Amino acid sequence: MAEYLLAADRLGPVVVLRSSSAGDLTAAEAPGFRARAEAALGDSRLAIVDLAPFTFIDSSGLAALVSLHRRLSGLGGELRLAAPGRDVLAVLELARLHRLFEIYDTVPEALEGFAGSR
Amino acid sequence: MSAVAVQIPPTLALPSRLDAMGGARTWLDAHARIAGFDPVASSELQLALTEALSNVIRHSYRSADNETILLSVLVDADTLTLTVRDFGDKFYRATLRSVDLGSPQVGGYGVYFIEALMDEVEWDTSVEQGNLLRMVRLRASGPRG
Repeated sequence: MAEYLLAADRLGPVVVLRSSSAGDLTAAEAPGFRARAEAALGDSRLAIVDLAPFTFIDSSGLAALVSLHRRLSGLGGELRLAAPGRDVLAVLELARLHRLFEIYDTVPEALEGFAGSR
Repeated sequence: MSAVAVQIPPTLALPSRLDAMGGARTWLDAHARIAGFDPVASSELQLALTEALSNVIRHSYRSADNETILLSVLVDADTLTLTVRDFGDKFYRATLRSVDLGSPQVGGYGVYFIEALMDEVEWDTSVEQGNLLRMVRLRASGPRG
């Protein structure tokens, strides 16, 4: 299986995660995404996943996001989601996970909310 | 320049590998578009199919990557019917707990997605080996969620 490509940009205390393996986040990609994301997060407590590269997500993709959320919440931090496409947002809403995550239209908007965070 | 008619086969034999699901989605999307379903409906159909395949691969076939999954699609005036046939372990829907949408969880949404996105869902375990999943989407039904 090809290595999952995930870019991680550190902006102060916030890690912005953006897939370079664009397209799907399904049972096929979720393990690689999750492993790379956890490695990139290290000790960070605040993170944003840029969902713009994803055109399709399934329950395994959602599981990866929820898992990251739980990891950061357990550290007193937070995972935010940014820039979901129409279909990705629809799946988040179908699972009612739009109530769990703060979802922003853009990464800069998601970052703004973290500005006052420690 | 003459037009070329392209026929998409109504059946597809898929290897039991997660990385094969994308091809199945492309196949189903083609059928859905030809049948007149809009992009949102096609995306929903593809999600139901993906969840079904993922369950077959991981549970019925226990992640064995050398098995076969048979897909078929049938379109009529009112419906699109999608079947997923596997030859692995039986799947008994009644043994699954319903997902609690008020309590976010890691995983467990697959069957819920299938049943939310399709108008009729039936897991037939009476077939000699494995399962036959039959999913029906009405043309007239609107977007979910």
